[in-house]
Amino acid sequence: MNVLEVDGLTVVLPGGSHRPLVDGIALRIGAGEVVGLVGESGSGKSVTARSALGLFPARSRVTGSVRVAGTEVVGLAGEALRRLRAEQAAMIFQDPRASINPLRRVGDFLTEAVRTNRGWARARSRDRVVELLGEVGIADPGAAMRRYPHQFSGGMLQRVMIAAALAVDPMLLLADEPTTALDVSTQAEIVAILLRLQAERGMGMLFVTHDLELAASICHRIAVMYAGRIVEEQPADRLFRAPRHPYTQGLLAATPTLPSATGGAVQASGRLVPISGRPLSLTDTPPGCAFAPRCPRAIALCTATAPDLHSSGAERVACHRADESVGAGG
Amino acid sequence: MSAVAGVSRFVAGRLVSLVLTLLATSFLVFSAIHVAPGDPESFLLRGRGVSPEALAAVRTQYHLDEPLPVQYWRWLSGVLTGDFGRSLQFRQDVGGLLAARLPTTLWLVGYATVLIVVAGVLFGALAALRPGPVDTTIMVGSTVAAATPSFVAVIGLSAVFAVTLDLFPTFGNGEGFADRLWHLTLPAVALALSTVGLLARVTRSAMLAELGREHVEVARARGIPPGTVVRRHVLRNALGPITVLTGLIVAGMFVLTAIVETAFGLSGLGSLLVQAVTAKDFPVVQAISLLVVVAFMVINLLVDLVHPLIDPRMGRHDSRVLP
Repeated sequence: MNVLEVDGLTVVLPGGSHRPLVDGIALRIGAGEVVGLVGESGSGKSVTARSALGLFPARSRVTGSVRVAGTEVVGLAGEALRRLRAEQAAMIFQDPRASINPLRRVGDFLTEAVRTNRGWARARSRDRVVELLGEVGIADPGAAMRRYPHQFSGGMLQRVMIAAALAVDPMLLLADEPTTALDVSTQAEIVAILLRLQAERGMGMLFVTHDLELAASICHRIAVMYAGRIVEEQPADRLFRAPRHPYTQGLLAATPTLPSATGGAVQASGRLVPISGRPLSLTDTPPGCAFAPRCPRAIALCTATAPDLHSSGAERVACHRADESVGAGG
Repeated sequence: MSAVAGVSRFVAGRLVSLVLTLLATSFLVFSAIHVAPGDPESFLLRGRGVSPEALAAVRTQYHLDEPLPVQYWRWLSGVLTGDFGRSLQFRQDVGGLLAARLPTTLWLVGYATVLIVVAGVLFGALAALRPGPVDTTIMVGSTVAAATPSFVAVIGLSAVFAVTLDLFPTFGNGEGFADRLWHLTLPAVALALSTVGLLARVTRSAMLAELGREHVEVARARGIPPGTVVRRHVLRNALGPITVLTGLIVAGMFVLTAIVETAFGLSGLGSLLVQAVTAKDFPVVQAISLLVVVAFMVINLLVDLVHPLIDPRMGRHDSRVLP
């Protein structure tokens, strides 16, 4: 069963001649599956992830369908929406320090969801949370619960955030750049904790990041977004080896690759090639492919009509020239 | 243990600065009356022409012939032993005079504080949570109320509720709890009216700021019920500015009582101050001024002590960051 099914999701801000924040998104996540959503700032990846919790921008117009474990989220409101958030899906946000009320104890934050939504007694919620804090690697959970957020480092707070998300036993875990605000060594720990808990519990996970390499190393499948659309989706290893969309190719060429730790031929990883030009702003509404102005392989057709997202087998790509063979990299 | 030591060190520090400030202001309060036009002795003599000898005798009796620092020292050592001198117009101890008037003023200020906090926070929260007509109405209302001087409010309130509708008395303190409450309602409303709007505004903007915070959105994303989100995360976090402003308002009200008490014929410290100023009854003026300063500083100290309870980040206890 799919824990997340997104079909034709389009979110438009009110007024003006903006292009949609996200446009015709289609995405599936099965139970136990980790799907990466990769793109630069403003590509709509966070909007897509938040849609699973019914967190749409104020007064935006939403069309299409978002189903979490079979429940339609678009149009859901009030008590039903609250129950979905309390029971089916949980989200881990980018900045744990901003996500936790600084004036209340960490223990209050952790137990709040089960106490208010499940009516659990204080002792029961406490036991549950202490156990979870142990699982995310916080030493002396009892003492940690009595502390305030400012007494924790960012990495520790993100562990708290993960424990809080797991307290409600969600089927779908949404991780919105969960490691971006952390330092590098902490990032690896947090990713490892997330993956371990996801596998143990068989949750579906949507992992939102701008880091294609990170996504490739932890996800089963990756969808790449550009300017509000999914431009390519492939199993992670294939996407990394044989990217088909010029944007994905550009992203990979612009990512530094480390020589493998096991030694071997330390390849000078080549020059980094930035993608030329600027990302599309929200007011740019070109008729053709949104990436065409920056695309090294754009032809006249690209600027005239937008390519559809074509599926073939496990992969989807939206490019007029995807079928022409190219050397990986570009 | 270290938390207790930290707090007591903080309180001790504040008390020292409170005493120093009191000393400085007491000198200002004492000397101000001598800078003001008109001599106390001309009041004592009620404008009667007297011989220079008689005038000198009066000046000696009230120590007005001594240099200012000596007079100040005489007054200060009296104040420290609870002796505020004798009232010139009532011919009795200032201490006893104040003690008789103090309860009315405390009742009035306390009553008005309750009104201000309840109505101010309620209207402010309502305005923050209900954008549109409700918000606009409350904001316009608060502007009108804030722009209404106390003496205008007094006239309007007594005209409508006391004279026309005859619901409340226009005069007197009242005896016992219920009667006192009934007598003090209009004065307390008059006192509260101008500052309720201020508190409502601050509550509104503090809550709006908190409503925009990420942790509030996260709480909603976790399915926490809306009422709980407002109570635990929005209002709770907006308490800082609300407390600070409430402290300032309460302290300021001790001065405003002068107008309201006089208008409603209440015998409190405010009306006594007005009488004493008119009569150049300088020991009374000095004592009341000093009391107002003390009230102001004590309230500020309380606000400072409450603040770490509201925001643990300001706490003087252990705030090491764990690795």
